[in-house]
Amino acid sequence: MLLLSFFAYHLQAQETFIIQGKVVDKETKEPLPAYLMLEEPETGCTADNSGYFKLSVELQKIPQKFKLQVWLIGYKKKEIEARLGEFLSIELELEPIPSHEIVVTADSVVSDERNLKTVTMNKMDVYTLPGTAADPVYTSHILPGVNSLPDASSLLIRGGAPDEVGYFFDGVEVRHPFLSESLHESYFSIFDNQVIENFNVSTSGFSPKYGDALSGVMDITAKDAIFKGEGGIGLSILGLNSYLGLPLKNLGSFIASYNRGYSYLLTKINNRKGGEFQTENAFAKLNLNLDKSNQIRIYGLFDDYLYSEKGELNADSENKIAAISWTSALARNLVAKATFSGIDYNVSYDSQDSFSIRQRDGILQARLDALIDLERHFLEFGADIQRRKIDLTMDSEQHQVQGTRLGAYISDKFRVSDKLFVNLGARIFSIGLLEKKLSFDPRASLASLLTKDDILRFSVGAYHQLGDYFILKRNPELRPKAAVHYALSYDRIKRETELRATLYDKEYRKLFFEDAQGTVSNEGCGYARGAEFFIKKKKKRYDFIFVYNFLRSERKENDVGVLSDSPYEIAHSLTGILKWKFHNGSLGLRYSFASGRPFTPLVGREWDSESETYFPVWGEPNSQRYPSYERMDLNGSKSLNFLKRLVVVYFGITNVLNNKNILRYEYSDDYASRKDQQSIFGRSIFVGIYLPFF
Amino acid sequence: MDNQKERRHQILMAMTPLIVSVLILGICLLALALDQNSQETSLQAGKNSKFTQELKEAKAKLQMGLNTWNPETLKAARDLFLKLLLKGSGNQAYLSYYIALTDYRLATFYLSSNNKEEAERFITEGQRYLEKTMEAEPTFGESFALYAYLLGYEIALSPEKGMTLGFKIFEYFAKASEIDPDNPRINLLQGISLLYTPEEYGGGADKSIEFLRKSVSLFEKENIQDPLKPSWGREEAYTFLGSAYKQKKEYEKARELLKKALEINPDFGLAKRELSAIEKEAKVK
Repeated sequence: MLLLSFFAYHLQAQETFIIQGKVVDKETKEPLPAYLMLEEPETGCTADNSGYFKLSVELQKIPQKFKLQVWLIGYKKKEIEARLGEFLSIELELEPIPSHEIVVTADSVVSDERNLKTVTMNKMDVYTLPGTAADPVYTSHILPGVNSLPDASSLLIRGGAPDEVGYFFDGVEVRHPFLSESLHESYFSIFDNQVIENFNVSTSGFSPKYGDALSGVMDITAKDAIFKGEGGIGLSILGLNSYLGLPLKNLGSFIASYNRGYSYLLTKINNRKGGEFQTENAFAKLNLNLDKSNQIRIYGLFDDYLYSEKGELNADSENKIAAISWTSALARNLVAKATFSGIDYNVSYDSQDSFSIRQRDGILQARLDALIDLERHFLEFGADIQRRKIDLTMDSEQHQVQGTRLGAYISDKFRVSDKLFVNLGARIFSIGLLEKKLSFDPRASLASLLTKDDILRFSVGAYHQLGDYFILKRNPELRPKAAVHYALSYDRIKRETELRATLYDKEYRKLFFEDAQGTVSNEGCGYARGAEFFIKKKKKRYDFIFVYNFLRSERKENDVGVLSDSPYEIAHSLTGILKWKFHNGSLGLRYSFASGRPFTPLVGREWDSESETYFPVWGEPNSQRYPSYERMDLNGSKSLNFLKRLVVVYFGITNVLNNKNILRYEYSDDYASRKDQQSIFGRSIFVGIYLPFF
Repeated sequence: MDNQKERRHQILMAMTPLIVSVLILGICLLALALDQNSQETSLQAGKNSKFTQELKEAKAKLQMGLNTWNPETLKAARDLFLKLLLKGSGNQAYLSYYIALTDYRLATFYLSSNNKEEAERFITEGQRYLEKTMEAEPTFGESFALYAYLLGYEIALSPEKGMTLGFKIFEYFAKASEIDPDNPRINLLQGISLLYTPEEYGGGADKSIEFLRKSVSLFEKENIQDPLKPSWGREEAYTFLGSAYKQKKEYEKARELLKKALEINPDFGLAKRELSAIEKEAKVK
């Protein structure tokens, strides 16, 4: 009895009141497990997974009107005033994203970073997607806006020519990024995925940081900080590859890779005819921390490619790159970086009875980049200088050209509101070879976050490219080639799905046109217009990628005097990839299709009695098309436990259906017969193992 | 001329009291202000001690939740830390760390009870709080180790992330021990993480024991007075070292270590459960 009355008293004394409501995301209306705190009396609670909360307070202690703070990490803190008795519906807004964490240009980023809100691939994709040869450049073919065939490495970006793309490796502009570089096709990049931290491909609207490229940029960063030793060694029928990354305590880190390739086994096993090649590729990088805010990086890259066709044709190309950079954090949000580099590129082609070509491209360059991160503004500016000397020896003729290029840029990426990001910038550059030296490239792009997952981007900008130095030397009155980009893209980036749809227009101006007398002028022009669609789904059991590019492009360029179909126009290209993931392994299937490119047909030949040779008679420029390209690839990998060690076994079958893809037609010396130049990727099997050690 | 001089003198004389009184008033005001100031500082101290009191309460609640392995108690502890964080008192970076620590406990609970949805929520929130801590206090190694550990949980939830996140885990642990090599909790987390990593990925009981033994010996030397600093984990180091030996079927060693853990914290549920599991396993043998 006493107890009962005690309870009654207690109940009366502590009459409680319940404040209740629901917390949701303002955009998506998803329930949020936010934390709510009452100021007076000081107490709090967390909403449950459905966003509902109940907070009980003593009635005497709470005023009629009270204040409640609501917060969840990643969201803006909100203070609401409420009256006793109402059901509270609370909406929280996401915290604004810092300017540097968002991609404003239409980039496709390859990295593991989150929050960039763009199309991504991760480093493992480079290894595990079929038909990518573990090469970051081949992997980029899958990105939207890249029209390249799966065949040659070179990136054809939105209808541009292969030489319209700038390649940057750890801050160094690399002029010859392919192991095998030739007039028609280049194969395999010199960038080893083992030492790469991340890379991104800009298909338009790229930052003024990059210049001298009309269509796009691929920027690759080598690994930097390593905290624990890592590495591995791999053996395949193509040869050997190895990688080592060593932390040097507080001093920094050291990264090195060495690869060697021989085609002998590959051709033997797959019963292929044609030439044999040998490759060698070495990379070493030393990161030194002078102190907490100063870092020096020194790296060297060497690669060599030898090709021979039964003694009839020999090709040898060699690339040597050395660079040193100094990064200094001058203030908490001001970082400056100075990079000096030298490139020595040598290539020779020798044919037993017809020709011998040697080219040397020596490049010295320096650049200074600085960035200031002001949360709302992300400022980048800098300057670069490049000195190039090219020696060309054709049989006994010798040519030489040299030029110095200067550039400077400024770019500001800023947050107008939580939803709108703008990037404004400009680049100027000049070359000593030309009379009218200065070019000016203003560029602007904006990104608007429609919701937290949907982003709309628009970019417009001017781009200039110098082109072949030998042509510039012939006519110093030339101006650099120019292009104006307009691109509108929509991205939906969710955890499991990445989607992009793009419309673009690229107007070419001042392209080089060579008239019948051999005079080069800026009378060339052209355009490339198109649309792209990309979807990537990452499910637990499988990954799915589908990309379709539509392109319409015409050009008046080189010796083509009228606006006609561009030789780089691949009107339709699509790739579909399905990758099954199972315990410790994966299996991938890929199908690629590309409609045929235009070519100028041969309509006849004429006998010239004076020189006693046949001359070709060409038809309408680019009026016919090659057959379309089709290829299916399969690959797989599995991690095994062998003698308590992890071993990765992998295989690939290139061109499973053995489609005979024609890349070009070649004509006999008398232009009497035509020969199909087929893709080097016939059906072939490839196997290897990789042994990681750490 | 003289007259003028005298007049000036007179004016000056007349002004003297005025000047003096203004000076005195100034001094008084200053004194008053100083007093106010000192009152304020003592108030601040009072607030601070209130903060310390509340932090201690929250930490005790977290320990209770761990002992009894009760998610509701853990959540209540989390609310207490959140309240302190929202009030803006104390060191925000450390408070974020404690919330993440509670998230780690809750994620462990939900992972072991196979509630993936809840586990995921606490893993991601814990990571976000730690990202704040790491940014604000880059010299606080423990947050890097806990971050690495939570990355491991992310792999447990979605194994396909193993290939990419695996390296990251190494990186964060290495960074943590680079900052603070003789921290027992960093060694403890690394030890636990290795215990559940397959041998072919560089884990296993033997490697785990290396770290856990180091952790145990470091705990014996540790003496933390500052209530703000983390001090958890001594009994856990013994318990997990015991578990590692249990995995190697060295039951005698395991039993001894688990008993030592219960000496330190007689209410520690995990040690009790491990001990009874050993009795069962040993009996079966």
